[in-house]
Amino acid sequence: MSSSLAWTLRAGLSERAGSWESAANRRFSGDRPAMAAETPLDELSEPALVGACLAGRPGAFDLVVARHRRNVYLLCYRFLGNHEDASDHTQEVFLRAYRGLRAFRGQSTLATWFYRIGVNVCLNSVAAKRPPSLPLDGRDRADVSRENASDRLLRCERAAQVRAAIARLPRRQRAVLILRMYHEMSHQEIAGALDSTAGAVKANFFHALANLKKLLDKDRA
Amino acid sequence: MRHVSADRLVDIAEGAGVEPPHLRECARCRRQLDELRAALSAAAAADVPEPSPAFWEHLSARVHDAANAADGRRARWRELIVWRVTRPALAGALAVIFAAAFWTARALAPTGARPAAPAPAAAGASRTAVPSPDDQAADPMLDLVAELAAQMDWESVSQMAVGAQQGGVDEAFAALTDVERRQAHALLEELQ
Ligand SMILES: [Zn+2]
Repeated sequence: MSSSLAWTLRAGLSERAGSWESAANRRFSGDRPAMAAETPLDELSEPALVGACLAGRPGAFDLVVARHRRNVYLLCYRFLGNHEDASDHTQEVFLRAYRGLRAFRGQSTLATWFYRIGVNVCLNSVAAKRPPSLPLDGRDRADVSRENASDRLLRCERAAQVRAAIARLPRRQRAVLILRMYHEMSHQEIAGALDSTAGAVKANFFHALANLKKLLDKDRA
Repeated sequence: MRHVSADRLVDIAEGAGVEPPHLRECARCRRQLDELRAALSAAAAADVPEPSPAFWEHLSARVHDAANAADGRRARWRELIVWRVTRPALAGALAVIFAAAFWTARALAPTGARPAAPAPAAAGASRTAVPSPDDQAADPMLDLVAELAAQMDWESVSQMAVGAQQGGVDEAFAALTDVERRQAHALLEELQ
């Protein structure tokens, strides 16, 4: 009784004083006094950077976003097939990470953690109904300088065809194929991100490739 | 005949395993391996269009703004929880104090006298329950108690005591709309 009473009274007092702002509320704001001896953010190790985010150090989470935004965006694009949905879902992945940062205990790398969130966000998305978008500026990874226009068009069409076939794979197979092929994750890392085993991931990958081949053959026929 | 397992075929297709002699003899395993290699090659060539360099800063700014907005919503919900949930709980707790003070005062007062409010002076025999004004000055929490008590009469103290026995927090939650309740639950989970 006495402890709950004390809690209640303190809550009332805190309300009066308007002092409910938590460290989470200060992660982005600049109201934290600067400390002269702080190591620059970009020199921090990954666990230290996460700690800086949790401590509310200004710019810490911005740096995390800057480091991982491209991979998260490309992951989302692979799942959703267009720029608009990929952008929206990338933002959602980072927001979830921001809200759940306290739950990240360094059991994996931040990259793997973001992939895990990204796969969940994208697989559970019901909004991704927009048609696949055309390349924004044609800066694909292949060397385009020596490619003539028709070759380039053919390559883009072929890539879109493969992406569309991947989008038709069962969810689990799609996730494994995308993480393995385009994000260079080991079977073990994928197992960690998907709460699975390396053996099951390999089996999923095998079936994903076999089904992809069938889908592509069917499209060509 | 024992065929090559799926995970071994995957390793071989990815260049991580040595081809066993069985592959030279078994058309089925050979075909499967060829199909895996063809699918790997097709998938590897499927580039994703890269956004313009300016997009990345735009994306960072969007995330930054969205996180700030989420923090703002969290802060507003905290205020709502404090105001709509802890206020009745606070009132209930105060009611217990006032009721104790009232009954103590009535027990000590001359027969027939009913105090209009829980007077601190009347609680002299029960200093642990209701401290003197001097003690209150030393404790800001008791300032709040005194301030709230000054606004109450006996009837409201009695009603609060009944409400507290029936569960003030539950009632406060019941007073929220469905949407507010769902968001309040989500916030409480977040705060844990
Ligand atoms: Zn065989």
